[in-house]
Amino acid sequence: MSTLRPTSAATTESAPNAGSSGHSSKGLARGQIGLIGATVIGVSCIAPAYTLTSGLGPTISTVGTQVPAILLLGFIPMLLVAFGYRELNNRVPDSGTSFTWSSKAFNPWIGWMGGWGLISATVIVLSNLAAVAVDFFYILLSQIFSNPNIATWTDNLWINIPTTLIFTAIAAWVAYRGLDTTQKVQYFLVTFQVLVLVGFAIAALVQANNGSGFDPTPVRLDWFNPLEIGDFSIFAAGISLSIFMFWGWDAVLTMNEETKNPEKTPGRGATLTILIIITLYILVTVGVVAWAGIGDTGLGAGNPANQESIFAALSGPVLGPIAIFMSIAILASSFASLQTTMISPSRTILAMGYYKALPPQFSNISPKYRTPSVATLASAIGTGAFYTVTRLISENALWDTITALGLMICFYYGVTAMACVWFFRKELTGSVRNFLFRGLFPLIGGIVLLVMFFQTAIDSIDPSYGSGTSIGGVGMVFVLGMGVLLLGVVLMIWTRIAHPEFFTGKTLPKTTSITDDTTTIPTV
Amino acid sequence: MSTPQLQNLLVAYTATATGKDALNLGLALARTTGAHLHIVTVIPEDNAYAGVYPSDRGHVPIIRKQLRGWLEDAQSSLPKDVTSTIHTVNDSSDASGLLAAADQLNCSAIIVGGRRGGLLKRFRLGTTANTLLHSSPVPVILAPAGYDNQQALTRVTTMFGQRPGAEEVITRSLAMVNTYSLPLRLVSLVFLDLDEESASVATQESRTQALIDQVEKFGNEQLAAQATDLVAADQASTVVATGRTVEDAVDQLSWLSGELVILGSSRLASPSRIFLGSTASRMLRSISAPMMIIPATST
Repeated sequence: MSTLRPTSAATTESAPNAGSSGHSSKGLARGQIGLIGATVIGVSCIAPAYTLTSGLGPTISTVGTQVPAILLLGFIPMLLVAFGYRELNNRVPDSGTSFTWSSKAFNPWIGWMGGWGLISATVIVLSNLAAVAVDFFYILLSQIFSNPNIATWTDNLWINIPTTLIFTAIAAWVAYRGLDTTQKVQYFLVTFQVLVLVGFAIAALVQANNGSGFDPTPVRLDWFNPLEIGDFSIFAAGISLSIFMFWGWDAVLTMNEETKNPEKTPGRGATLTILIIITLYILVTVGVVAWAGIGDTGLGAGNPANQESIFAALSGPVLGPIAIFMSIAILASSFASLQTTMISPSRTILAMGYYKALPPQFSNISPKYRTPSVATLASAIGTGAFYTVTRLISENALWDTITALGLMICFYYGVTAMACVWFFRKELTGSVRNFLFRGLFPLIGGIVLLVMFFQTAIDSIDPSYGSGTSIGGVGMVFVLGMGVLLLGVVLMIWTRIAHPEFFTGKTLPKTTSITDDTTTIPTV
Repeated sequence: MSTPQLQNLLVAYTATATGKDALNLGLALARTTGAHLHIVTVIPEDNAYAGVYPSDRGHVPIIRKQLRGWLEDAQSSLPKDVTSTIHTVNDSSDASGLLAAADQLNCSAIIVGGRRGGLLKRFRLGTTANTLLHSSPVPVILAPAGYDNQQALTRVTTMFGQRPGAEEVITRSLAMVNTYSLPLRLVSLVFLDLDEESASVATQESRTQALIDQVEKFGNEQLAAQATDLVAADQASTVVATGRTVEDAVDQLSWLSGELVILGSSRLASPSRIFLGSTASRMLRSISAPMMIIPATST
């Protein structure tokens, strides 16, 4: 009984009475995850049922029938950036992400904004996840009680906002308690989502084919041709949206010791994930467009009323009585994502508090649950506040937040990709592999994403951009995206004044891949 | 059968009142037995299947550093007459991390705090303690909420029922009192509704004899002889606690501040695992002293 059970993740590090401190060792659940497991994790991080209902409408509205083309194209810069992420994760696994990487590679200011970009992107997606969960919660209730009125409760802000805040609070509480989704639940959720989505796509295609769809539209090959898009602004907007649609995919690629074969499992898992996701997306997109057409009336996929949440509009007409499964799939997928995504900003906030890039209270840890306490609370409050404000000022909050989210993801991905190149700059010439994966690929990916960011940001000033909601003659997407970034700049300057140590490079000094010592963290 | 001596004790520590209860009990036990304390905190780790995204592991060294700091504080609060080592263990479940650490560190028991603020301010078990009680191959010792005794134990109370596993409980109790020269109290709980007759046992002698008989019946002859010797030498006392319910019967008993109760676990347990029966879990809730719960059959 003296050997460790193989499934156990235990490694103890010890310091004897004498006082010498044990060497840091980290013990992830090692070598448990095979190809199937990695793929399940990848698909679960993308949460396709949620992503499709939120992202498909805005994407169709932007690029029309060329959604399959833009999805295929949008994946490329993401892949290129993910190569850089993988290199950084393998080299410095415990050193955080956007915030720490770009602080180390560039300077505290860019690091701060990189961290803020990631926090904002996650807070925005959290508010959207919570909102979608709430929508489908009421749709599900209306289906269970066969009372269509219940589904409209979500349009009543006095019901909608409190319910969303409650969902957010529950997710934050679960994250704070350190509870997470188990393997069995995850396998079930992923299988269920994929089955329901495939079922929806097949039903839609069959009905479109026999003419019983809303606006049966023949499937055409040019849907897959990005050159049909023509306009660069539309192209940029489409790329931003497709980045949102794939967000989560690279989770598998950055996995390492927890896989059975760290050399091969992550790459193969990521490949299989992306094949499944692209197939699923294209199938559902083609199904939606073929069934509903892109007309802007009735059930048309071009109707702004349907685009906020495409399945809320179409799953009933397409699936009939079994639409209840779609509601369950989306509710489960968005709520599970809400809870796991809640963990992420709290960790970046914790790190920013620890390195004094935010007031040090943000690095407080719950003695009982040993998780970030103030940072988790801050994430939940940020999510609730963002949702409440956007919901109150815009009827099309979901749509515009998705577009603003695509913008934020492009921003922090772009910054982080550049940080990767710069961090590894002294090792690029060592081998062709290093040059490509640490240099060229993330560089191209990063530049593309930053170009998409700026193009989309400039275009979104137009009041008719996105859902067409505007404030003072400026498009809502611009207001949301730039407002959040501007808020970050204000907070950054305030922190610079109130807590200067981080900005003077004392807590997280600049370094490169050659000099970075990842086994120790500075005592601050 | 393993040696009942306690040489290495694992204290499940968090920087909370519950963790402090466990540490106090660990200290009291170390002072009684001379055991070395392994003070362990679990660093919570993501279950990889949870799919936390975006993946940011920058919190890991920060949390580890804080938890080590708290462990160091705990260790430095201990008096010099006990030896201790501090450890962190990474696991997605506290209970499985503690079990793995107990195994790796060769600990003969796990000390864990019960949850504070139960209705009766006694044991209301947290998830971790509860999971340990249902799965630990080594004895689990529960510190009641607010346990502040740091002195060596002054008495062992053994409670056993008519279940398999009693032999192990009696063996452990006798070995403990013999090894560490502690007085023993043998307790029989009698529920009036179930057994009016044995409740009317009148004299001290006949009560003692009844208990020794039980030791023989549910333990073995050798143990009964040992118990008889202890009673003769005034090292052991016997109590029959009567009541309508477990809670009533337990309320008849008084507890010393340096008391340790030793209980068995249910026959429902798979071999070498603790599993609490309904009586034991009700005792757990109503006894205000630290309790050591012995797995059904130790390896």
